[in-house]
Amino acid sequence: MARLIQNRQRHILPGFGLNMGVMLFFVGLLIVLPLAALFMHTTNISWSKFVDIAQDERVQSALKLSFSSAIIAALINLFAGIMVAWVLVRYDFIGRRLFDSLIDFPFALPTAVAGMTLASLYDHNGWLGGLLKSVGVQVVQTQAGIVLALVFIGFPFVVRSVQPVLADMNQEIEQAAKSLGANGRQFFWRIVLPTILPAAFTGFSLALARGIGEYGSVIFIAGNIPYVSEIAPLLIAIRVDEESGYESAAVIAILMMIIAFILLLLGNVLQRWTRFYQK
Amino acid sequence: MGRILLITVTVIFLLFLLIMPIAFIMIEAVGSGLQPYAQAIGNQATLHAILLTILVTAVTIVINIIIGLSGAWLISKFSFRGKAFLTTLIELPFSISPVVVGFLFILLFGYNGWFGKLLDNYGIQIAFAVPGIILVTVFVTFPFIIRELIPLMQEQGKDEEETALSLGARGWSIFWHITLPNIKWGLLYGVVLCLARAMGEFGAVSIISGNIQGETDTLTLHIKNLYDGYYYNEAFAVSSLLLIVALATLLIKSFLEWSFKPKTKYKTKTTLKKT
Amino acid sequence: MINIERINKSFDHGRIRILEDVNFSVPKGQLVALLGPSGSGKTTLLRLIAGLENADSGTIELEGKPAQSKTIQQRQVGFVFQHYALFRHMNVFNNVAFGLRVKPWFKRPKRKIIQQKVQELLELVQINELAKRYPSQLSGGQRQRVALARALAIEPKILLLDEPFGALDANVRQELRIWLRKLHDRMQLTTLFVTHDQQEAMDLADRIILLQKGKLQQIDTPENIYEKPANLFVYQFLGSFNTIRLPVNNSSIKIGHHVFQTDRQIANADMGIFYIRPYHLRLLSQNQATTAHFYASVQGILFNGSIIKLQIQPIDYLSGIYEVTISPSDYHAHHVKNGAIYPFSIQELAFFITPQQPPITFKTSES
Repeated sequence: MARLIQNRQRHILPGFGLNMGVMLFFVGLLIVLPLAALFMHTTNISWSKFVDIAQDERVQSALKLSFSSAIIAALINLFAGIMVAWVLVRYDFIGRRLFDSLIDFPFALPTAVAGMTLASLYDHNGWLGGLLKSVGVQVVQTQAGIVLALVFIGFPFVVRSVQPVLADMNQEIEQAAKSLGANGRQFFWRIVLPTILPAAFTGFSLALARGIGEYGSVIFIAGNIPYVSEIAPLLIAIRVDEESGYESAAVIAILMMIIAFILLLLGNVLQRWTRFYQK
Repeated sequence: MGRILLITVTVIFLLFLLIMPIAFIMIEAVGSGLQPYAQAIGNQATLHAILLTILVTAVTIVINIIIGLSGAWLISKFSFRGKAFLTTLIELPFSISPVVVGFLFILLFGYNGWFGKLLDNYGIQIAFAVPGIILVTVFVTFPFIIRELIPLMQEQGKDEEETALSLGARGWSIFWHITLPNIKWGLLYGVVLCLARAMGEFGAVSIISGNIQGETDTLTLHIKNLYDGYYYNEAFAVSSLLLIVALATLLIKSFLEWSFKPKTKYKTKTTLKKT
Repeated sequence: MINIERINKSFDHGRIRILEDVNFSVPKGQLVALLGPSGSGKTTLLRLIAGLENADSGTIELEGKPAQSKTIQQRQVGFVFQHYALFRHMNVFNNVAFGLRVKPWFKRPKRKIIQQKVQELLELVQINELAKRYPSQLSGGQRQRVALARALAIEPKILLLDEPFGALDANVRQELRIWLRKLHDRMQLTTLFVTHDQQEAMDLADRIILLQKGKLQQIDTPENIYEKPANLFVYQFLGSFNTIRLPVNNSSIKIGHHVFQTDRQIANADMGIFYIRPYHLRLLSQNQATTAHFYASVQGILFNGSIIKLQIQPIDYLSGIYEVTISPSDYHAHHVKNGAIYPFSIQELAFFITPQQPPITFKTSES
């Protein structure tokens, strides 16, 4: 009896049972159950059927397009993000605070509106599309357009990851480096970059994950030409719309998750490796 | 020298990436005059979409506040087996494509889904109806509030709650008088993030809703329908509403960051960070 | 009154043992220090008594009644955290009033009475002028007073303080110690406070409970714990010391031709470790040289307020550097200079047959 009472009192602060119940309910209903449905659905597909769908040329090109575009966009965001974060933290200029507040604009704007706007801006008749056309560059209905949309959508991730780390860097560190004879460039490459790299990779991974699955902002500008500018999420949407397409949709979804998982795992390893000094 | 170059490049980059789309939406919205603008927004279909979006967003926020408070309390105040696993599950929605999310819920609640038939017998429809839209929107916005609250509550520790306990306070009154006042700004911040995402969710909603015009078309779906039907200026007119909400959330967010983030730094003399 | 019997506590599913079979009792009205190095389990023990943790086994009695089945709210003990855990969004008044306001409605005092009571408490801790301030606007000492007033609001019989002076500046600390002592006496509380500072425990407590690695080492008055340490750990923890290695023969040791003895029978040993407190080494004047046990040169002088520490290097019989404490008046009387050589005598040495036993004292039989 005494044991029982002690076990029940294991947690001193109240609310463990209630909150555990709430969380198990919501996580179960909203996350575990749907994922279980997907995996159960996939296990019903025979292996040869699975391979057939996976090797389908349209599926392959869609997956290739999605992942290559997401990686390119995330890389662009890595560099642009570090630059923008550096400028916003280190320099004071007119409009700095406005720009700082607007960094999160791509998160706040609905993706469909973003996609529509970018598509119209870069269309042949759009403000920028015409300009680019005159120098022979086409953005709409090409991979360039997809990358552009993904750069827009993933842009805040790296900036917002790097910014606080940069702001936290003590002024004394810079003064110490300078007193030891480092010039501005050496200070950046040897002190700043190693410090912000883990955060930058965190932002990179987030942008990558977002880019792989992104749909709303891409479909407007991509033109969705099969084999050319059709992304994997769109292909899933098309297959779901067809009566008999669920199996195919499930396979593509599973493949996307597996590849994304591997990429994020690699990102994690990379991040840990750059974080060696924090162990 | 390098500094001026860097600032210039950054400003031009941000002008093209951020400012130009804002300007473009506003100009295109009123492209054919103010009268058509008012008409595009004031017509029946748009009003219906607005109301549906507000309903979905409001319910989503309420559910996410419950999940956020409950989960953050659980994870930051207790240690238990499987905590790391639970934390991973909470983060999961960030890395799943919205389209896949929509598909998952169709697998569950579609006509041939696990529960679709069963619920259909009782006259309950979830897929291709408003409940389905709410479910996917909650899924997509699941991490926003809870992720904002967990680090905040962890940083604040348990001392204040335990003190309240020793002074005789009970569960609800501790939460209400001690915990909530300490996290209210963080909660609001999370709500703002959640609101922006919930209003603008497109991929998941477009799959689960079936896009039935006049019934399950939220604002973003309505905009897509207008755009696809070559109602170009109308599409941008409706978009301008969402743009205004987006800019308003940014404003509130900046204000929150500006006014409450420094205050959370207060702890005790010994742990105050040197800046 | 607090009564603790055979308390065991471990974390991480029994892998880390925090407390092992701890027994003690604190009589009503005493002010007792729970002393130990960090990681000794003293804070855990305090939290167990408050009900903030649960013991794996053992019994806790508060005011003569078993406490385990009581929740923390029912125990009615005043608990003050190391960093005070003031409710940062409430002003001082509301912080102190909290414990009264959260009482069930049928026990809750009227608004006016709460007002009056809080006022009294603020006066008691001498901060009535700060009632409207927020915690972030207070100094460390003021925060501590608020935390105490808040804990006292529920009229506890028992007050538990976790490192009450740990977060304070040295000069404030001294003042607050005296004040806390007075408060304790006036309120007729039973107070238990945790500290890692042996000086603080000595200054303030009626009795000291010394813990190490979850095990009780000694419970005694400050005087006894210092004069009669129960074992080697207690001896080492309570002050600085010098060590000498010497062979033991016939229960006696020799330094030069001086013999130090004990009346206890001790087995011969090639190298016993002997401990000398710095104040048991005495600096002698040149005309007392006949009673000197050894000569040493002064290698360093550290001024430490009321005492002066000398670092000396013996030039005969002994080797190494030793610490000696002398009074400022001795320092001036002997004209102590760096590098100069002085005669010293050893008043007593302590020897531990095993680390678990009390020491045996060796003294010289001369004079």
